[in-house]
Amino acid sequence: MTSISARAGFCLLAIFTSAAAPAPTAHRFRIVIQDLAFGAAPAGIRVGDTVEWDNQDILVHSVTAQDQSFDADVKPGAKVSFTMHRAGVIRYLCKYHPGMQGILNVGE
Amino acid sequence: MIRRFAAVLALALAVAPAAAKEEKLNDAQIAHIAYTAGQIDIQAANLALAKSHDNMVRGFAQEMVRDHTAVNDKALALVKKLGVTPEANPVSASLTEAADKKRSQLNHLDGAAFDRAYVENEVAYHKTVNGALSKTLIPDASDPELKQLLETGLKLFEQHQEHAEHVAAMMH
Repeated sequence: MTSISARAGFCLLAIFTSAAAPAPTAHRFRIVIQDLAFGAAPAGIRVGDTVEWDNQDILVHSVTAQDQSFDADVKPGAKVSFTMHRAGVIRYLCKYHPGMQGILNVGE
Repeated sequence: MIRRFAAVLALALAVAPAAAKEEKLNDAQIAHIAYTAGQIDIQAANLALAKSHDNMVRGFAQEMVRDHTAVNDKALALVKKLGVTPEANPVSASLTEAADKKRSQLNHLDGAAFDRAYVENEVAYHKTVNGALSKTLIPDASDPELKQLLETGLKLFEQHQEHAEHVAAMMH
């Protein structure tokens, strides 16, 4: 009986603890592409967050990760977004204009 | 009218400098020159796409068509907005004449000889246009939006020049 009560108490505690500390909310970060350059990398990106690139330039660009974790063209006036699935430094560039380069620092 | 720009272009494109005069270019002339320069590179790229089988050369040519078309479309929209009618001038005429000659020469080449000549011309052409943009067209432009578009063009064409130099280096 004591054992059952203890287990029930533990379960309630676990449920309460779980409800009190929800999983971290995923955030959305925005990088503007303008004048043949990627905007500054936002700080605080974590695994599960989404990064959106907003192409306000007059040219078609791409956001192409050097580790091949993402790659997409983005037309003028369009946006493209990717969710970050691993922590670390991710270097990316525009494959059409390789002088355009950026770095994302993704935390755990 | 042509001033420093003619000196730059004459040197690299064998444009006769006789027409050069000491007058500043106006925005209508600058717009015409910039648009013409873009069209010339699009025509050269279309020739490359028709003749070359080299993936690297074709990729570069596709980039030239895509980017110069975008910039020229933007230029057309801008002059319309500003109510400026691009004005034909001796610099544009010289550019077109020199480009026609070069395209004719390229048209007589095939295979690797064509690829090399096309890419080498792209390096020289972008170098020349970039010099003209930075030394004359941008400083002479009066309208801030036109100046801004030319500055964007310069940034882009510098990347094209680097890309062309990279392709040329890969061929040797």
